[in-house]
Amino acid sequence: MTREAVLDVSLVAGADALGELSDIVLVRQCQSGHREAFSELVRRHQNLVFNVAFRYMRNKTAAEDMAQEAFLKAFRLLKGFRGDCSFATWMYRVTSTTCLSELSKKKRRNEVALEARNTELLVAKTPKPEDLDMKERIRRCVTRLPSHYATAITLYYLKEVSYDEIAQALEIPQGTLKTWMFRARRQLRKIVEKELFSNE
Amino acid sequence: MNKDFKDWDDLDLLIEEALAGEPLLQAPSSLQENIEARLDIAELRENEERRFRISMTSLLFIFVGALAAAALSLWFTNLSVLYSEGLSGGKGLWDYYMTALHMSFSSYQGSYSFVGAIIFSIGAVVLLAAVQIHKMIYFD
Repeated sequence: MTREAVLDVSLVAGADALGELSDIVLVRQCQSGHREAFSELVRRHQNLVFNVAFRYMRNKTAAEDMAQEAFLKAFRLLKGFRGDCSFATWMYRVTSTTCLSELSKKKRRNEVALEARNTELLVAKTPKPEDLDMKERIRRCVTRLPSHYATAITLYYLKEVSYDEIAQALEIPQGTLKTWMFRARRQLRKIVEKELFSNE
Repeated sequence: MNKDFKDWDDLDLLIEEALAGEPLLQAPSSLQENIEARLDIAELRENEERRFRISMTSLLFIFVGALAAAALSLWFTNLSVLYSEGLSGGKGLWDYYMTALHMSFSSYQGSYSFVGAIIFSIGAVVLLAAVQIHKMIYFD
């Protein structure tokens, strides 16, 4: 067996071994400078992070950018991760913060309004079923909520995220989360009503 | 559209349907690749920042060392005596230092060349180390 073949086998074996490790073990390995462990974490959580980012950005390209940013931020901040919550929960928090800060930057630069206008133009050019369009418009309304409500609503409707995990991600007690959810729904209802009915 | 949502419940139901019914998307296949590439760049940048920090610190040490060496040489050459006694005209820098050293260490019986060699060697090692730190090539 050649040296390259031996190296390939050991790499594959290493990747398999990493695949069997729990998130927290991989995090500890990352903290001691093991890059491959972080790659495994990315592989495991990329779908969820991408979906969280998509629900904030409502655009696949922007969501991919934000997912990349979130993972890079996580890589930088990982040394400070103490393991109080699961890595996935921590990633929800990092992704939400990254997306919300990008959205607020865009708002400051007045890009959101332009994007919304462009999207409307695009929608006008490519007719879609009315029902689908309305649902998408409702989903876009979530980003207009105050950031903490938007995070609560986004994570709540994302499958695989429990109530407990959302509370941990937002660093609030479950009682507070329930209050936030109630208020977020009430505000969302008003925003949706304004969005749907004012355009008619 | 208003007539379709006469009461709040209909609207609530619609919102619930829109949010809960959103399908989970598959992350693009390029995502992991791009993250790896950006991590490589981030690591390179981090290495460059570390190299810059170390090289600046080493340069500062060399600068402070040079100042200290200059101050020591001035102290050893006993300038005050030179000012008061002076040197005859027409003599060069070498004579200036030799006279100053003779005046400072008139009673010293040891080997000047030995002490000088040690100081020179230490200086050379420090300079070489600084040059190596400056290079600090990135290895993946």
